[in-house]
Amino acid sequence: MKKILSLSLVALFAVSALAQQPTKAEQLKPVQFNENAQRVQKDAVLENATPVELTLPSRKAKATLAAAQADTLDYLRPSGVFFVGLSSDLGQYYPRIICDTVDTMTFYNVSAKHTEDSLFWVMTTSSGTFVDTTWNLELDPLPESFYYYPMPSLVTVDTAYEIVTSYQYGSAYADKSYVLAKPDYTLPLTTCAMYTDTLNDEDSQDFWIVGAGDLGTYSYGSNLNMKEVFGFSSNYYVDTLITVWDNLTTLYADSAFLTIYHRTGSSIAEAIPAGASIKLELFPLGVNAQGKMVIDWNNPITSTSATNADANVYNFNNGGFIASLNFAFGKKNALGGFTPEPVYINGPFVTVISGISSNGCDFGIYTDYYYSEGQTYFVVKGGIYQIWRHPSNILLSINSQFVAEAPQGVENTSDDVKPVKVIRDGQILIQKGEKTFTVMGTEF
Amino acid sequence: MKIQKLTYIGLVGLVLMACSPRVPDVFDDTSVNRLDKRRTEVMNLLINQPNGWVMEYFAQADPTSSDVEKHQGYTFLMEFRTDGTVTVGAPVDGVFKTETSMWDVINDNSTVLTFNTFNHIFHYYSNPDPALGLWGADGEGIGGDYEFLVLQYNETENYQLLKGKKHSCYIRMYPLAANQEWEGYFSLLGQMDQFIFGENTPLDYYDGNTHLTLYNGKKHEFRAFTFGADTLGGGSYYGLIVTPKGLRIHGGEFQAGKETIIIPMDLFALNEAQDKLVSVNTPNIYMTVDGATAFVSDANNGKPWRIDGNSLPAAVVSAKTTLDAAISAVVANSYVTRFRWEGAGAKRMALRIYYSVGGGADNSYDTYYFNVAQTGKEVTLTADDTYSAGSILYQFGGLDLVHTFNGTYTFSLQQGFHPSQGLTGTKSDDATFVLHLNH
Repeated sequence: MKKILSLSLVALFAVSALAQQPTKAEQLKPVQFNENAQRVQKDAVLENATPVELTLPSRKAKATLAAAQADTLDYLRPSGVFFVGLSSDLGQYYPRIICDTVDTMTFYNVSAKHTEDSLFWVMTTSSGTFVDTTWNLELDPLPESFYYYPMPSLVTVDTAYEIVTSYQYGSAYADKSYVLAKPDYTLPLTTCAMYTDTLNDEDSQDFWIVGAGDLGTYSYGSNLNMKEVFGFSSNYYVDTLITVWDNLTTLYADSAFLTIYHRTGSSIAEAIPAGASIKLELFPLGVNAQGKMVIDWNNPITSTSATNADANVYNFNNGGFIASLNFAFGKKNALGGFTPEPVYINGPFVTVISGISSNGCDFGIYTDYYYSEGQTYFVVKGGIYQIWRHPSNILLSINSQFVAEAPQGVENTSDDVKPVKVIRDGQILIQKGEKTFTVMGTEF
Repeated sequence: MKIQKLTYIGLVGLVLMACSPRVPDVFDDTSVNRLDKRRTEVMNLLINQPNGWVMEYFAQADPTSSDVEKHQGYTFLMEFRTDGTVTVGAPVDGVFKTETSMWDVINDNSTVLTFNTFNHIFHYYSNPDPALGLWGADGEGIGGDYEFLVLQYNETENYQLLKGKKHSCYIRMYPLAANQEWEGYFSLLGQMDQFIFGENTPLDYYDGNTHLTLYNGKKHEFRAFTFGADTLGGGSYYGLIVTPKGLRIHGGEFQAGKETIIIPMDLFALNEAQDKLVSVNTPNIYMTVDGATAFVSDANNGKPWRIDGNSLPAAVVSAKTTLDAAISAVVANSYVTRFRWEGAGAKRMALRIYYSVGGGADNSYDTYYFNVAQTGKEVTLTADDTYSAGSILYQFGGLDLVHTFNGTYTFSLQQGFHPSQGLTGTKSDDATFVLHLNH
């Protein structure tokens, strides 16, 4: 527990590091439109929107960021590769990366302060330790019977990043350490990377994720004020989070959960009051006729919500709690009740979580410990809307299976949106207009 | 002058001592001879086992932190020969292997059994190989011993007790039955391992009034808590080794609040009913899987309990009938079909009520939440009248049905250590209220 709490300092550092980049913030010009605009109006907005090119933290920027932090080891996760972390009961799986069997995966090393001679890759499994001394790590496609790799670690003489633990964070009941990922086995996939530094902390059994943010706000979470965090001129509050999932294959998903926390409370009602609900929507991601990456708002994959009754809560000994907020995928039946309806997700998609700052909600959302590719975006309210990319990912997990092919007749990607071409180069690569992105009629 | 007097007194003393009767020796031989004799006895003992020995080996013990590789027990089969060779057999990466190296019994303050040439199977556990120290940085490997003090032979349980010379772990060596094939021995261990830990349910440990919960036995390192304690952090860690008869812990002190109890390093043997692992030395100390623990922990670990529809008590059936009528009034031929208990966080469970709409598939469901209080072998379930988003039955009086499940239950396993074979839940205030649950 000490370690989780200590993460607030890390979050403080991380957010401060961002705050110290005013030039980047100044380059970003918020795109304004009617705050009451609804998604149903998006077509009109799209037609009238003036594209605005914004500088995103590209891979190069990521490398620059890494270089600015002395001795930082950093690498980029291949597209289509997910992490397996917490379960919805807040137990932990033995750390895995999991992916389909399509192609060779390349983990790009962006540890700018190091050379090939000064570090190497390590993957630990129950049957041994594998070492690779090349600069970028290339992993062969996985055979069908073996759908995971251990999390690779970049190692120097004094630093190691990896996910290694079998510690049961929540209930401590189950040993999920040796669960093997199989095609028919549902695992909680996430874009959020969790690390523990077993070299510097040999007895480490905690995974490290970022919780509390700076100055009384959350790193991610309710009522995050962009003015305080990023130095914006006005109070803008984050109410919606959009995460890009660079999925390469077909997922069969039946539910999801968001890992949240409250610093001081003991009751979930202090985080999500009665009557409040958090909405989760999934939309396909594609490329429009102009080659711009777009969210296909017309064809939601699924839409669901959760209230405070849908949270599994585990109280900390010294105040506060962690909880998984569970979203089941389904539809209303003739009685008005819930009928589960798992979805097939073909290709890249986005998850949209909204309502986190509405109706009195007050909670933080765990994110990865170190900056990752940053596939989560803020949608800010407070007089204007704008979308902001954050260089870390929220701990949203989708309970999914990989399936070899989408069943016949199941197609979630709109016909008028071409599939995004994604390659395993360590980052989502957009075919054209790589640094533009269209969301809600706003390009960034 | 003073010095002179003292000298005289000393001389007188010596003379008197020389005249006193001889005190018999405590030992009947010199220490060197006795060590040599003991060495010979130990060597003969080790050699004169036609099928060799089973060594139950622990590398290190440290209750304060977890390190499965260092703390769990390892089994080796060993055949000692007069020519100074020893053959060691054990699974390596899941494949049974043997390797022959050298052994000796030496006099080194005490009688010491040493494995004095490198054996890839056995010395892996004591070799400070830098490669094994990749994450330990200092290359200490697993940190076990390859030299052991030879302590007493336990005639009652028929084992030779050893103690690691450097790390002080207690190690036992049992003679291997003459007709036991070596590789097959590990199959026996695998079967017992599967029997005890196959379903990965925490064990309940009883020592008089002390009740502990032992988690993570499948990893062969128990994580122990006082029953009901917050398991978010901490705990004490004890390595264990599976034997053909049950298991043995490398126990030690356990701090239960202000009280310190001792977890004995005994063999805990499976009893005849196969529902307890009982200390062979102190029978009132035992481990088991309580039905209540199985009910709560399995649900919390993604193994929901399905209630046998034929076992529904009258109160549930009556409330269900009322609810069926209410929802059928909205959509004809709608009715509740089945119930399922699931985990829902710490001290909380969910009752999922499935129903059919208009006679269709019964995959629609509501979820209602209960507070859970487990006190020893009893579980009290109390609906908190909250429900998941999308629930609808409460609008038709469904909470009355939910409330019929309120109460205190005792649970019993149909088969010891195997919750998947079914639980019987009996409500304490109504003997007729019995639930049969299966995964």
